[in-house]
Amino acid sequence: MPSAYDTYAEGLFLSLTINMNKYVISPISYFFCAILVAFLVGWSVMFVEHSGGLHTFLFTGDIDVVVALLFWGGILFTLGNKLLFWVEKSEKQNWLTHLRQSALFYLVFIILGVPVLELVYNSFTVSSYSVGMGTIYYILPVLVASMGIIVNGVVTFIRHNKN
Amino acid sequence: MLHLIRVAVLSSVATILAHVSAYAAPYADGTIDCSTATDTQFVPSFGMINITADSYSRYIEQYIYWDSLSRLTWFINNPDSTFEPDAFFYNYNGTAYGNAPSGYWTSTLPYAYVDTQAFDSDSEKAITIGSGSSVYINAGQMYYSVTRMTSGGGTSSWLKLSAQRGKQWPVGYTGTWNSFGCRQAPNNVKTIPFNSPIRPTNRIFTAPGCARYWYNWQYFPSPFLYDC
Repeated sequence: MPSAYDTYAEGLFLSLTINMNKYVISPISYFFCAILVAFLVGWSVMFVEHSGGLHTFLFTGDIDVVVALLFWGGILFTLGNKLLFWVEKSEKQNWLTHLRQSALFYLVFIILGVPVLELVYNSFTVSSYSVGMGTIYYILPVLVASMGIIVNGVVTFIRHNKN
Repeated sequence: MLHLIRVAVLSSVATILAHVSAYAAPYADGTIDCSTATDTQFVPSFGMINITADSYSRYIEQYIYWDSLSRLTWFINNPDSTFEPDAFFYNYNGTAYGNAPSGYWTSTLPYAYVDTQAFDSDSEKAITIGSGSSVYINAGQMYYSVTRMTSGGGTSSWLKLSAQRGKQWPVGYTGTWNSFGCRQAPNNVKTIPFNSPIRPTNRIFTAPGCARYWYNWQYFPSPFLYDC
Protein backbone atom coordinates (compact mmCIF):
# COMPACT_ATOMS: atom_id res chain seq x y z
CA MET A 1 0.00 0.00 0.00
CA PRO A 2 1.53 3.39 -0.92
CA SER A 3 2.48 5.69 1.92
CA ALA A 4 1.08 9.19 2.32
CA TYR A 5 4.39 10.53 1.10
CA ASP A 6 4.21 8.39 -2.05
CA THR A 7 0.71 9.63 -2.76
CA TYR A 8 1.80 13.21 -2.17
CA ALA A 9 4.85 12.81 -4.42
CA GLU A 10 2.78 11.21 -7.13
CA GLY A 11 0.24 14.03 -6.91
CA LEU A 12 2.97 16.64 -7.04
CA PHE A 13 4.53 14.95 -10.05
CA LEU A 14 1.16 14.77 -11.78
CA SER A 15 0.49 18.41 -11.01
CA LEU A 16 3.93 19.46 -12.25
CA THR A 17 3.43 17.42 -15.40
CA ILE A 18 0.04 18.98 -16.14
CA ASN A 19 1.33 22.46 -15.39
CA MET A 20 4.44 21.87 -17.44
CA ASN A 21 2.24 20.86 -20.35
CA LYS A 22 0.17 23.97 -19.90
CA TYR A 23 2.76 26.59 -19.11
CA VAL A 24 5.92 25.33 -20.80
CA ILE A 25 5.26 22.77 -23.50
CA SER A 26 2.15 24.41 -24.97
CA PRO A 27 3.61 27.88 -25.58
CA ILE A 28 6.92 26.44 -26.82
CA SER A 29 5.16 23.92 -29.10
CA TYR A 30 3.04 26.65 -30.60
CA PHE A 31 6.07 28.90 -31.00
CA PHE A 32 7.86 26.03 -32.72
CA CYS A 33 5.10 26.16 -35.35
CA ALA A 34 6.00 29.82 -35.94
CA ILE A 35 9.67 28.98 -36.45
CA LEU A 36 8.65 26.33 -38.99
CA VAL A 37 6.32 28.78 -40.72
CA ALA A 38 9.08 31.41 -40.96
CA PHE A 39 11.56 28.94 -42.45
CA LEU A 40 8.98 27.50 -44.86
CA VAL A 41 7.91 30.97 -46.00
CA GLY A 42 11.56 31.83 -46.70
CA TRP A 43 12.10 28.55 -48.52
CA SER A 44 8.91 28.92 -50.59
CA VAL A 45 9.76 32.46 -51.65
CA MET A 46 13.27 31.35 -52.62
CA PHE A 47 11.80 28.39 -54.57
CA VAL A 48 9.41 30.67 -56.46
CA GLU A 49 12.25 33.13 -57.15
CA HIS A 50 14.48 30.47 -58.71
CA SER A 51 11.56 28.82 -60.53
CA GLY A 52 9.91 31.68 -62.34
CA GLY A 53 10.48 34.95 -60.53
CA LEU A 54 8.89 36.88 -57.70
CA HIS A 55 5.58 38.73 -57.90
CA THR A 56 5.50 42.34 -56.80
CA PHE A 57 2.86 44.76 -55.61
CA LEU A 58 4.89 47.30 -53.62
CA PHE A 59 8.22 45.55 -52.92
CA THR A 60 9.94 42.65 -54.66
CA GLY A 61 8.23 39.41 -53.67
CA ASP A 62 5.68 40.92 -51.27
CA ILE A 63 2.83 38.98 -52.92
CA ASP A 64 4.79 35.73 -52.63
CA VAL A 65 5.51 36.34 -48.94
CA VAL A 66 1.83 36.99 -48.16
CA VAL A 67 0.64 33.92 -50.11
CA ALA A 68 3.30 31.68 -48.50
CA LEU A 69 2.50 33.05 -45.04
CA LEU A 70 -1.24 32.44 -45.45
CA PHE A 71 -0.62 28.94 -46.84
CA TRP A 72 1.96 27.66 -44.35
CA GLY A 73 0.58 29.65 -41.45
CA GLY A 74 -2.93 28.41 -42.16
CA ILE A 75 -1.81 24.78 -42.18
CA LEU A 76 0.75 24.77 -39.38
CA PHE A 77 -0.99 27.08 -36.92
CA THR A 78 -4.23 25.12 -37.30
CA LEU A 79 -2.36 21.84 -36.72
CA GLY A 80 -0.50 23.48 -33.83
CA ASN A 81 -3.77 24.44 -32.17
CA LYS A 82 -5.08 20.91 -32.57
CA LEU A 83 -1.88 19.64 -30.92
CA LEU A 84 -2.27 22.07 -28.01
CA PHE A 85 -5.85 20.96 -27.48
CA TRP A 86 -4.75 17.35 -27.46
CA VAL A 87 -1.78 17.93 -25.14
CA GLU A 88 -3.70 20.01 -22.62
CA LYS A 89 -6.91 17.95 -22.76
CA SER A 90 -8.60 21.07 -21.44
CA GLU A 91 -12.30 21.63 -21.88
CA LYS A 92 -12.36 25.23 -20.69
CA GLN A 93 -11.14 27.70 -23.27
CA ASN A 94 -11.16 31.40 -22.57
CA TRP A 95 -9.06 34.50 -23.21
CA LEU A 96 -6.56 33.39 -20.54
CA THR A 97 -5.99 30.17 -22.50
CA HIS A 98 -5.27 32.28 -25.55
CA LEU A 99 -2.83 34.56 -23.68
CA ARG A 100 -1.02 31.58 -22.18
CA GLN A 101 -0.68 29.64 -25.44
CA SER A 102 0.33 32.70 -27.45
CA ALA A 103 2.56 34.22 -24.75
CA LEU A 104 5.76 33.92 -26.78
CA PHE A 105 4.04 35.44 -29.82
CA TYR A 106 3.00 38.46 -27.81
CA LEU A 107 6.58 38.73 -26.57
CA VAL A 108 7.88 38.79 -30.17
CA PHE A 109 5.14 41.23 -31.10
CA ILE A 110 6.12 43.62 -28.31
CA ILE A 111 9.90 43.33 -28.76
CA LEU A 112 9.92 43.66 -32.57
CA GLY A 113 6.57 45.33 -33.17
CA VAL A 114 7.60 48.61 -31.56
CA PRO A 115 10.69 49.14 -33.80
CA VAL A 116 8.67 48.06 -36.85
CA LEU A 117 5.89 50.56 -36.06
CA GLU A 118 8.52 53.26 -35.49
CA LEU A 119 10.14 52.37 -38.81
CA VAL A 120 6.85 52.46 -40.73
CA TYR A 121 5.86 55.75 -39.05
CA ASN A 122 9.25 57.35 -39.83
CA SER A 123 9.30 56.16 -43.42
CA PHE A 124 5.95 57.89 -44.03
CA THR A 125 6.64 61.09 -42.09
CA VAL A 126 10.39 61.78 -42.47
CA SER A 127 11.32 62.40 -46.10
CA SER A 128 15.05 61.75 -45.66
CA TYR A 129 14.49 58.61 -43.57
CA SER A 130 16.04 55.54 -45.15
CA VAL A 131 15.76 51.94 -44.08
CA GLY A 132 17.85 48.94 -45.06
CA MET A 133 17.07 45.47 -46.29
CA GLY A 134 17.75 43.98 -42.85
CA THR A 135 14.44 45.38 -41.62
CA ILE A 136 12.62 42.59 -43.48
CA TYR A 137 13.84 40.28 -40.71
CA TYR A 138 12.10 42.47 -38.15
CA ILE A 139 8.91 42.62 -40.18
CA LEU A 140 8.61 38.90 -41.04
CA PRO A 141 8.60 37.67 -37.39
CA VAL A 142 5.99 40.32 -36.55
CA LEU A 143 3.80 39.11 -39.44
CA VAL A 144 4.25 35.46 -38.42
CA ALA A 145 3.53 36.29 -34.76
CA SER A 146 0.43 38.26 -35.76
CA MET A 147 -0.89 35.35 -37.74
CA GLY A 148 -0.18 32.92 -34.89
CA ILE A 149 -2.03 35.19 -32.46
CA ILE A 150 -5.01 35.59 -34.80
CA VAL A 151 -5.35 31.84 -35.55
CA ASN A 152 -5.06 30.93 -31.87
CA GLY A 153 -7.52 33.67 -30.94
CA VAL A 154 -10.07 32.46 -33.49
CA VAL A 155 -9.69 28.79 -32.49
CA THR A 156 -10.01 29.66 -28.78
CA PHE A 157 -13.08 31.78 -29.46
CA ILE A 158 -14.74 28.97 -31.44
CA ARG A 159 -13.99 26.41 -28.71
CA HIS A 160 -15.17 28.79 -26.01
CA ASN A 161 -18.50 29.20 -27.81
CA LYS A 162 -18.81 25.42 -28.32
CA ASN A 163 -18.51 24.86 -24.60
CA MET B 1 3.67 9.73 -26.18
CA LEU B 2 3.45 13.12 -24.51
CA HIS B 3 6.96 12.67 -23.21
CA LEU B 4 8.18 11.97 -26.74
CA ILE B 5 6.48 15.14 -28.01
CA ARG B 6 8.08 17.14 -25.20
CA VAL B 7 11.55 15.83 -25.99
CA ALA B 8 11.03 16.36 -29.72
CA VAL B 9 9.80 19.93 -29.31
CA LEU B 10 12.46 21.03 -26.84
CA SER B 11 15.34 19.43 -28.75
CA SER B 12 14.10 20.82 -32.09
CA VAL B 13 13.80 24.33 -30.68
CA ALA B 14 17.28 24.05 -29.16
CA THR B 15 18.75 22.78 -32.45
CA ILE B 16 17.17 25.54 -34.52
CA LEU B 17 18.17 28.27 -32.07
CA ALA B 18 21.73 26.94 -31.95
CA HIS B 19 21.86 26.84 -35.75
CA VAL B 20 20.49 30.36 -36.21
CA SER B 21 22.57 31.93 -33.43
CA ALA B 22 25.74 30.34 -34.79
CA TYR B 23 25.65 32.80 -37.68
CA ALA B 24 25.69 36.57 -37.46
CA ALA B 25 22.34 38.12 -38.31
CA PRO B 26 22.11 41.08 -40.70
CA TYR B 27 21.88 44.63 -39.40
CA ALA B 28 18.81 46.75 -40.10
CA ASP B 29 20.77 48.71 -42.72
CA GLY B 30 21.12 45.54 -44.81
CA THR B 31 24.76 44.75 -44.03
CA ILE B 32 26.19 41.72 -42.28
CA ASP B 33 29.44 40.96 -40.45
CA CYS B 34 32.05 39.25 -42.63
CA SER B 35 35.60 38.02 -42.21
CA THR B 36 38.40 40.20 -43.52
CA ALA B 37 39.38 40.10 -47.17
CA THR B 38 41.47 41.94 -49.70
CA ASP B 39 39.93 43.23 -52.91
CA THR B 40 41.86 40.72 -55.00
CA GLN B 41 40.19 37.86 -53.10
CA PHE B 42 36.75 38.50 -54.61
CA VAL B 43 36.76 41.28 -57.25
CA PRO B 44 36.68 39.89 -60.82
CA SER B 45 39.92 40.09 -62.77
CA PHE B 46 38.15 41.19 -65.91
CA GLY B 47 34.70 42.29 -66.98
CA MET B 48 32.75 43.80 -69.80
CA ILE B 49 29.53 45.77 -69.70
CA ASN B 50 27.29 46.55 -72.63
CA ILE B 51 24.22 48.74 -72.28
CA THR B 52 22.05 49.09 -75.32
CA ALA B 53 18.48 48.98 -76.63
CA ASP B 54 16.46 47.17 -79.25
CA SER B 55 12.91 47.55 -80.48
CA TYR B 56 11.56 46.01 -77.23
CA SER B 57 13.44 47.78 -74.44
CA ARG B 58 16.77 48.87 -73.02
CA TYR B 59 18.96 46.12 -71.65
CA ILE B 60 22.25 45.54 -69.90
CA GLU B 61 24.76 42.72 -70.42
CA GLN B 62 27.73 41.82 -68.25
CA TYR B 63 30.63 39.43 -68.75
CA ILE B 64 32.62 38.60 -65.61
CA TYR B 65 35.82 36.61 -65.26
CA TRP B 66 38.12 35.53 -62.42
CA ASP B 67 41.45 34.38 -63.81
CA SER B 68 42.71 32.22 -60.92
CA LEU B 69 41.61 30.52 -57.70
CA SER B 70 43.50 33.10 -55.65
CA ARG B 71 41.04 35.73 -56.95
CA LEU B 72 38.23 33.64 -55.43
CA THR B 73 39.89 33.04 -52.05
CA TRP B 74 37.24 34.79 -49.95
CA PHE B 75 34.38 33.00 -51.71
CA ILE B 76 36.10 29.63 -51.29
CA ASN B 77 36.76 30.25 -47.59
CA ASN B 78 33.15 31.31 -46.99
CA PRO B 79 30.66 28.70 -48.24
CA ASP B 80 27.79 31.06 -47.37
CA SER B 81 29.20 33.92 -49.49
CA THR B 82 27.28 35.86 -52.15
CA PHE B 83 28.37 38.20 -54.93
CA GLU B 84 26.72 41.16 -56.62
CA PRO B 85 28.17 42.89 -59.70
CA ASP B 86 26.12 46.08 -59.30
CA ALA B 87 25.53 48.51 -62.17
CA PHE B 88 24.42 51.96 -61.03
CA PHE B 89 22.90 54.54 -63.37
CA TYR B 90 23.55 58.13 -62.33
CA ASN B 91 20.20 59.64 -61.33
CA TYR B 92 21.09 62.63 -59.15
CA ASN B 93 19.64 64.83 -61.91
CA GLY B 94 16.81 62.41 -62.76
CA THR B 95 18.28 61.35 -66.10
CA ALA B 96 19.31 57.74 -65.54
CA TYR B 97 19.40 55.69 -68.71
CA GLY B 98 18.07 52.59 -66.95
CA ASN B 99 15.46 52.52 -64.22
CA ALA B 100 14.67 49.01 -62.96
CA PRO B 101 15.04 45.39 -64.08
CA SER B 102 11.93 44.28 -65.92
CA GLY B 103 11.06 41.30 -68.11
CA TYR B 104 13.51 38.78 -69.50
CA TRP B 105 16.75 38.07 -67.69
CA THR B 106 19.26 35.23 -67.56
CA SER B 107 22.63 34.53 -66.02
CA THR B 108 25.24 31.80 -65.82
CA LEU B 109 26.24 32.86 -62.30
CA PRO B 110 25.51 30.14 -59.71
CA TYR B 111 22.12 30.53 -57.98
CA ALA B 112 21.50 33.77 -59.86
CA TYR B 113 18.82 36.21 -58.76
CA VAL B 114 17.68 39.68 -59.80
CA ASP B 115 18.42 41.98 -56.90
CA THR B 116 15.60 44.00 -55.38
CA GLN B 117 15.68 47.81 -55.51
CA ALA B 118 13.68 47.99 -52.28
CA PHE B 119 15.34 50.32 -49.75
CA ASP B 120 17.79 51.59 -52.43
CA SER B 121 18.55 55.27 -52.86
CA ASP B 122 16.75 56.93 -55.77
CA SER B 123 19.92 58.88 -56.69
CA GLU B 124 21.59 55.84 -58.21
CA LYS B 125 19.46 53.26 -59.98
CA ALA B 126 20.94 49.84 -59.32
CA ILE B 127 20.47 47.00 -61.80
CA THR B 128 22.01 43.81 -60.50
CA ILE B 129 21.97 40.10 -61.15
CA GLY B 130 23.72 38.51 -58.20
CA SER B 131 24.97 35.08 -57.28
CA GLY B 132 23.27 33.58 -54.21
CA SER B 133 26.09 31.12 -53.65
CA SER B 134 29.40 32.43 -54.93
CA VAL B 135 31.39 29.50 -53.53
CA TYR B 136 30.41 27.73 -56.77
CA ILE B 137 32.06 30.36 -59.01
CA ASN B 138 34.90 28.86 -61.03
CA ALA B 139 38.18 30.45 -62.02
CA GLY B 140 38.84 30.59 -65.75
CA GLN B 141 35.15 30.61 -66.70
CA MET B 142 33.47 33.61 -68.33
CA TYR B 143 30.14 34.36 -66.63
CA TYR B 144 27.37 36.13 -68.49
CA SER B 145 24.28 38.01 -67.32
CA VAL B 146 21.67 39.99 -69.21
CA THR B 147 18.49 41.71 -68.11
CA ARG B 148 15.96 43.96 -69.77
CA MET B 149 15.08 47.10 -67.88
CA THR B 150 12.60 49.92 -67.85
CA SER B 151 13.82 53.25 -69.19
CA GLY B 152 14.93 56.02 -66.88
CA GLY B 153 14.44 59.73 -67.35
CA GLY B 154 17.30 60.31 -69.81
CA THR B 155 18.68 59.11 -73.12
CA SER B 156 22.21 58.93 -71.74
CA SER B 157 23.80 58.82 -68.28
CA TRP B 158 26.96 58.00 -66.39
CA LEU B 159 27.33 54.47 -65.16
CA LYS B 160 29.19 52.98 -62.20
CA LEU B 161 30.06 49.32 -61.81
CA SER B 162 31.01 47.73 -58.51
CA ALA B 163 31.77 44.30 -57.09
CA GLN B 164 30.09 43.59 -53.77
CA ARG B 165 30.84 40.65 -51.51
CA GLY B 166 28.16 39.47 -49.12
CA LYS B 167 26.73 36.60 -47.16
CA GLN B 168 23.56 34.54 -47.08
CA TRP B 169 21.10 34.87 -44.24
CA PRO B 170 19.61 32.58 -43.18
CA VAL B 171 22.49 30.38 -44.31
CA GLY B 172 21.45 28.07 -47.14
CA TYR B 173 18.90 30.49 -48.61
CA THR B 174 19.95 31.98 -51.95
CA GLY B 175 17.35 34.58 -52.96
CA THR B 176 17.39 38.33 -53.29
CA TRP B 177 16.14 38.76 -49.70
CA ASN B 178 18.88 36.46 -48.39
CA SER B 179 21.96 38.21 -49.74
CA PHE B 180 23.45 40.90 -47.47
CA GLY B 181 26.45 43.03 -48.33
CA CYS B 182 29.45 42.81 -46.02
CA ARG B 183 29.81 45.51 -43.36
CA GLN B 184 33.61 45.36 -43.39
CA ALA B 185 35.65 47.02 -46.13
CA PRO B 186 36.59 46.24 -48.81
CA ASN B 187 32.98 45.35 -49.48
CA ASN B 188 31.84 47.35 -52.48
CA VAL B 189 34.76 47.86 -54.83
CA LYS B 190 34.29 50.16 -57.83
CA THR B 191 35.45 48.51 -61.03
CA ILE B 192 34.16 51.39 -63.18
CA PRO B 193 33.58 54.66 -61.26
CA PHE B 194 31.16 57.37 -62.42
CA ASN B 195 32.63 59.85 -64.90
CA SER B 196 35.45 57.51 -65.94
CA PRO B 197 37.54 58.16 -69.05
CA ILE B 198 38.05 55.05 -71.15
CA ARG B 199 40.94 54.30 -73.43
CA PRO B 200 42.06 54.76 -76.11
CA THR B 201 40.20 58.04 -76.75
CA ASN B 202 39.68 59.02 -73.08
CA ARG B 203 36.00 59.70 -73.70
CA ILE B 204 33.82 59.57 -70.58
CA PHE B 205 32.01 56.28 -70.29
CA THR B 206 28.25 56.70 -70.54
CA ALA B 207 25.24 54.48 -71.10
CA PRO B 208 24.30 53.35 -73.70
CA GLY B 209 27.76 52.10 -74.44
CA CYS B 210 30.25 49.33 -73.93
CA ALA B 211 33.44 49.11 -71.86
CA ARG B 212 35.88 46.52 -70.62
CA TYR B 213 37.75 46.68 -67.32
CA TRP B 214 40.74 44.90 -65.84
CA TYR B 215 41.13 44.92 -62.08
CA ASN B 216 44.66 44.32 -60.74
CA TRP B 217 45.34 41.76 -63.40
CA GLN B 218 47.97 41.32 -66.10
CA TYR B 219 50.02 44.30 -64.90
CA PHE B 220 47.27 46.80 -65.75
CA PRO B 221 46.83 49.68 -63.33
CA SER B 222 43.49 49.42 -61.60
CA PRO B 223 40.89 50.02 -62.81
CA PHE B 224 42.07 49.83 -66.40
CA LEU B 225 39.20 50.70 -68.74
CA TYR B 226 39.10 50.15 -72.46
CA ASP B 227 36.50 50.59 -75.19
CA CYS B 228 34.88 47.44 -76.56
